[in-house]
Amino acid sequence: MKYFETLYIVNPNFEQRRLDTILKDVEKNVGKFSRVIGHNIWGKKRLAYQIDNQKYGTFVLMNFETEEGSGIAGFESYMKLNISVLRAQTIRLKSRPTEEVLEKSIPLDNKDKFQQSIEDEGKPDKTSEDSSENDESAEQVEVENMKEIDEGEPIPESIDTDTEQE
Amino acid sequence: MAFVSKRKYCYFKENNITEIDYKDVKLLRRFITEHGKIMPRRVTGTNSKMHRKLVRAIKRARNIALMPYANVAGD
Repeated sequence: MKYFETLYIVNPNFEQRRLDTILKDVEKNVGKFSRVIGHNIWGKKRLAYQIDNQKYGTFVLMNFETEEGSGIAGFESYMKLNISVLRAQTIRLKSRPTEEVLEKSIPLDNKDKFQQSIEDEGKPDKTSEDSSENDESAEQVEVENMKEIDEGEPIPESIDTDTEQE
Repeated sequence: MAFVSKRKYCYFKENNITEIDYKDVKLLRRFITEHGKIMPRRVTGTNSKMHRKLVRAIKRARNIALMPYANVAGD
């Protein structure tokens, strides 16, 4: 018997119901060629780097066993094409994972720190705000460049106020 | 006064660790620099066999965004 482990990241903006359907779909796909022995949600965690403009991700760990490893390639391509899944990684395990690992969701290291960072920075939707801020700064840079080019024509202050309102 | 260097030792051998899990980020963080680069074993003192396992674990952790590829800011 071969044992595998898949750790995948789901979009953090999904509500619980949608997350459950994604988990069911993944389980259904894996169930075609193997038997799922553990499926745990780690929870929302800050990513080490942004993936698809997301700073956070919902980590899910799944363990499964199979006689043949032939279905793995199909499963990996399914995970890659799944839009809801930001990233997935399947690893072959040397032995069957312990019951402790299968039943409990592994506590994240310095979980409190991540929760604090979430509370401090607000909801993960902030990425869109950041992008809008970047846009504003980009506009301001453009305005400054315009000033340099059109030295004779001073730009009225109303333009700056408009950009701030946006 | 002669310079006496601190004796290096393999962390994994001392603690009887034979397998390194890529999900154990707390452990892996000991072996990367503040910029996110993997420390050489001449610095850490890790033995060759465990260093190869360590490198594999760090690269797996990077792939799944548990650890950074590069940390320019150093935080």
